[in-house]
Amino acid sequence: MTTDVHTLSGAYALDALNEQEAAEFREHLRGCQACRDEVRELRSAAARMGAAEAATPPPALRTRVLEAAARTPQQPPSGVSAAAVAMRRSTKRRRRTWLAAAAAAVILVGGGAVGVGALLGDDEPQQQQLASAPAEVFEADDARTASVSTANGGTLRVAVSPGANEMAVDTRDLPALDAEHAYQLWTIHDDSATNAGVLEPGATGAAMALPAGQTQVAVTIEPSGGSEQPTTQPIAVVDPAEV
Amino acid sequence: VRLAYFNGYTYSEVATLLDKPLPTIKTRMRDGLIRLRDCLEAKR
Repeated sequence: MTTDVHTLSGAYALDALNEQEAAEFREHLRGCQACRDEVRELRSAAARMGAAEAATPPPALRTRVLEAAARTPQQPPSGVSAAAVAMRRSTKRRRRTWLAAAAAAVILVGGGAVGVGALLGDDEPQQQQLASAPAEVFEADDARTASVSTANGGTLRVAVSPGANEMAVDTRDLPALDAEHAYQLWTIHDDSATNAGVLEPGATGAAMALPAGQTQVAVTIEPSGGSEQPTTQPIAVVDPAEV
Repeated sequence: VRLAYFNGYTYSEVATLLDKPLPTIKTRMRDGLIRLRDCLEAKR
């Protein structure tokens, strides 16, 4: 290559050199103050360009992440625990610590996968199968279920599992909403409503902790992304104690 | 500059994408950033 090595500063500042070229250019930088200054300035210019393009994540994303975290049950260390227990009996303390750390790592990886899956799954088009979190409540041994006709001509299925201390809704038989609206769940206690989650388009249902006594669960239609407080009359109100 | 910074292409990939010789892309990345730097400095 006949081109002057100095002209690589731009590509280097953008991290657009392959490994070998980058290594060669770093070698050159060591002996060239002018290039070091230039790379620093160009990087700062690129960073400011990047900062100018940075987008603020929509507030709904935070809600969605926290809700996904709240309704994702912590996974027991299945599989690993039996092996870990067996090993613990026969080995020394150091080994134990290592195994516990390994088990914890497995749980963390598993939990992460579930969380990401739940988030990505929300964007998928209408699914036939009920999402796993609400499905678990519907399939619990002690589950009580009910079907409620909604004011907008749909059917909301509700399941309550006192054993798991959870309840769930199946929203597959609710009418589809346009892109500007979403169903939002609320818990209502003493006439005061608390957000219990916004259903993303294509969501099949949702699971939530079973509310305490004398609390009702309501569904409203809100602008997509959800509201702080209900802005419309509920299309359905359910008292978990009566399911 | 956009392809390299936002899309993470190397400059030789950018050259292929834009069907331009390598030295041209190298120079453009540097000149583009220098102009950007000068613009930003002028605004400060």
